[in-house]
This record gives sequence, structure tokens and C-alpha cells, in this order.
Amino acid sequence: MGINFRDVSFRYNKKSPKPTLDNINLDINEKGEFITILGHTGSGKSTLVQHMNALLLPDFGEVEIFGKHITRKYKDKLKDIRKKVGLVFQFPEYQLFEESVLKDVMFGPKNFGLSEEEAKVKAIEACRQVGLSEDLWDRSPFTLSGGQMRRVAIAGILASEPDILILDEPTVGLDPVGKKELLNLLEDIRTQTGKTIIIISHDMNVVAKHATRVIVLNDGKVVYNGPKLPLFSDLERLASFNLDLPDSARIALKLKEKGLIAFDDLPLSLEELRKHLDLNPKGDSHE
Amino acid sequence: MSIEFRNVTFGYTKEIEVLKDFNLKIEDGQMVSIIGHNGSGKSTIAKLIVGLVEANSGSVLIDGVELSPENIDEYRLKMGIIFQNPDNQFVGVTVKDDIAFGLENHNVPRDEMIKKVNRYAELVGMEEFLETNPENLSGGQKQRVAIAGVLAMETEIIIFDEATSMLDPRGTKEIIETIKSLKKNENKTIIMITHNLEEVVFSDRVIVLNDGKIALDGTPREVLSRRQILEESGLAVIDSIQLISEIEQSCLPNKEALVEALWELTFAM
Repeated sequence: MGINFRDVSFRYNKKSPKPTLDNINLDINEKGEFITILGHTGSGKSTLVQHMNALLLPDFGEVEIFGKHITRKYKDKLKDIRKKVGLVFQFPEYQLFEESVLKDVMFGPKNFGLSEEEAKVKAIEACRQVGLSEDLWDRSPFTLSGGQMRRVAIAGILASEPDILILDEPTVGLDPVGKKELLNLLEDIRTQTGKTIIIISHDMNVVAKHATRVIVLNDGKVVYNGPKLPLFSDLERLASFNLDLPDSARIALKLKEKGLIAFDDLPLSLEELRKHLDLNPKGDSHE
Repeated sequence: MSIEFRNVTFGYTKEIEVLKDFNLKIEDGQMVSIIGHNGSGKSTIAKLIVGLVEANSGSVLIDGVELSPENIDEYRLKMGIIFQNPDNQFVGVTVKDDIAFGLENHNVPRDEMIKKVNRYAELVGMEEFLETNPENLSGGQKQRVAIAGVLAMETEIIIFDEATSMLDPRGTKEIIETIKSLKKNENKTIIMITHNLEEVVFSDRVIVLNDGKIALDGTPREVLSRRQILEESGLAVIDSIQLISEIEQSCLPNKEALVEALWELTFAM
């Protein structure tokens, strides 16, 4: 189960010589993964995730989504797939439309066939999960702050109880506190429900902190698919993908260069870096 | 041009005052970063300077002259502002048209206009994209075009209002490099409004706002050294600053060398 790409190619313009996705093979587990998808603008990241819930159908090859074989010719209903794999677009707050927060969150579950009452129960649960307090439920979503609106949009997807949750650049435009809260929320969802979380991100600090697996796209091809440490340790390859180091790793390398610390495995987090420095943060640490 | 706030009080509603009895003087040619969490009042300061909102009491002075409904139009011509969302500031079908838009509105002669468009497109590194439709650009490229459009007006004050917050790290870097070169090559008063600490290190002066009050005001190094106040002001402290603070409180034998290396790194970001 989960999502499996077999030799998938796709082009937006069928006459274009260069495909947006070029012979992708990829397996995504149904449970417990926190995958970050990296790659510069135009590398095919958004196109890839839109194949994961059959918003786009492959030109060649197939995507198997929870046992359903999706090819160019797939004609069956897609509702089941959309319910199992929830996709949150970039700047999802632009897509809110209902008159109240709760109604907006209820839209998804109602669309998937739940009654008004059932949908309301799911929506309330989802609002609580994303930390939208009760006094906001009857407010118009358009009177909320940017960070709160994004939570409403995410709650709307969570209320349909997808097995896999995909978010396209979920933290862009949020302030540092809002960003941290959103990532902690995703981490909580993963640990509490075991749902696989997939995010597209450009932020290497996020990758270093949260990812259990990293997929790098370049020109529509998967050029890396594996754990984060080997990726960040291979500086030459990292540069060839046009990717940066997380802050902690950059600091560690600089201090090593100056002979101020020594390590074998590149530290990817502040905690790991502290260990190499023999630094025991006092109780006032902000972590 | 200098900018001064004298005892300014402002609120969007009567009940909540965003700024209360606020005082600040920014000198001519200074580059000042104003940093604070969402709702700290930092964007309100920008709006008061360009006259998008008016103070409830107190005054805003440009070069010693108090802004008023009578003279605001005249002073607005001396200020440029770059906003957060690169997609909301496009009017032209090509990059060239877009940079020229403001100039056209001011009836600048064609020859001069072409010269200016070319000069400022080059300054932001977009000279190869003059015929491109802005829709086909990355976020960082779009913001650079927006900056060129504002620069072409040759205003004496330029305000960047969270101009990087919707960009990816690469786009952010592009904009920071552009602002750095502006600071170096053009004698303008630059105000940068942001919530990212790593973006303030090359300013002449950094002001931290919290609940409409100035929590810190000093050089980047002075401000970044005050980790606790930064945290109390709701800012995310970057790793190097966090480590500097911890190392200074530790008994590590090589702590001075470590702290110096970390400062060097902070300013190289």
C-alpha cells in the first residue's frame, strides 16, 4: 500500500521535448514517514505531488495509490484516492471561501459523503488538532491572521482524515513563531497518528530537523532518495543539486576548519553541535 | 533624507494602540532594519512614513518638515516601497514595461526612460530578462524587478516591507545581495522591515520592536548580543547567536576563539 511510482513521465505541453517528470520510480510508505521533497524552482516538485493524489495523470507509466493503478487511461472515480491522500497547496489560505471557519473545515468531509452532523464532529476535532480555539470557529476566515488562515486550510484537509498528508511549501510567508508551530503540529500528527507527512520545502533547517527521508528532484528526475545525513555530508553533490547546508552543519564545518572542534558525522542540529562542543545548555535553552 | 517620529500614537481602532508616544530618528543615508514579530507595529511605521495611514497624535517629519495632508503627495514622490508579495505588484507584460511604469506616469522623456530602465535592471541583475513576461520569473526575480521599478523613480528613501518573507532561501539571498549593493553604491536612506534576524547583520543600525515599543536599538552586533531580549520580543534566535550566548556562559577553555569564529560566521551569512 502507500504510493508507488513506476516509470512515470509527464509533460504539460505534449509537444514539449523535455518532460516535467522524467521516468520517476519511487515508493512511499503509508505509515510513519516524514519526507521532504527538495529541488529548485521548475524541478518538478509540485507536479510530482499532484500525481500522488491523481490530480494529474501520468503520460507514461503508472502511479499505484493505495492499490489503485493510475495510468493515462484511468477513468474510475477519484474520490477515494483524494480522501486517502490529502494535498494542501501553496498559500492554501487563498482558497478559503466559506462564511465561517467551521463551515470551511466541514466542506471536505461533506464532499466525501458525511452528513452535516458527522462533518461537524470531524471539523471540530480537526480545528482542535491544529490549535484553532473555539472563539474562532464562527468567525469569517478572512478576519484571521495569515498563520491562522493557513491552519484553517490544513484543518480542512485533516477533517477528511487522509492517510497521507502532503503540503506544498507549508511555511512560506509565516513568521518564525508561526513556522515553528506549524512544523511541530505536523510532527505531532505523525507521531500521534502514524500518518506519513510529505512536504515540499526549501528550508534546509526544516529538512535537518524533521525529515526521515529526503527526495531531491532535478530536471524532473529523482537524483537523490534516502536519509539526510549522507546527502548533507557530500558537499560536492549538494552543490551540484544547488542545495545549501542547514545552519548547524555550516557552523560545525566552519569551527572544524578553524580547528575548534572535531567530529566524524556532520552535526545537523543544534543539539548534536552542542555535544561536540561539550556544551550543556542551562535550563534557559529556547529549544 | 532624515525621518523622525515625534510622540506618535496610532491605532487602527480606538481601543488598540499599535504605537504609543513613539519616538525615533533615522538619519539621512542610514540603513536601518526594523525587526519584530507579527503585530509588533513594524509595518505600521512604514505606513506612517509613506502616509498610507495618519498618526492619531504626534508627528512624522521628513527632513524636519512635518507630514500633513497638504504636503504628503509631494513627499511621497521621494519615497519608494517594496511590498511582501511579488505577485501583487506587477502591471506590465514585460519586465521592461514594468520597470518603466512609474516613469511613464511621471511623463519622463522616452530616451531618459530607456536609460533608467537599463541602468536599474542591471543594478538588480535582471538585464537579461527585459523582454520576459514577469509571470515566468521566480519569486526572487519578481521582487528584483519590483525593486528596479522603485529605484527607477530615484527616490531618496526606500522601504523594504517584509520584501523577502514570501521567497525561498535562494530568492531571499538574491534580494539581500541586491540591498547590500544598493547600500554600497547609492546614497539613500534605506529602511528594512523584517522578522528574520539573519537579514539585519549588514545594516548600520537595528531596531527591535515589541508591542509598539523599541526594545533594542544599536549596531547589529550590539542587538544580536542581547539574546534574552530578542527572545522576549518573540523573535527566532538563529543558531550561531544561540551558541554564542551559551558559550559565553560556559567554562570552555577556548571560548573566546569560539565566540569570535561564530560572530565572523554570523556576519558572513
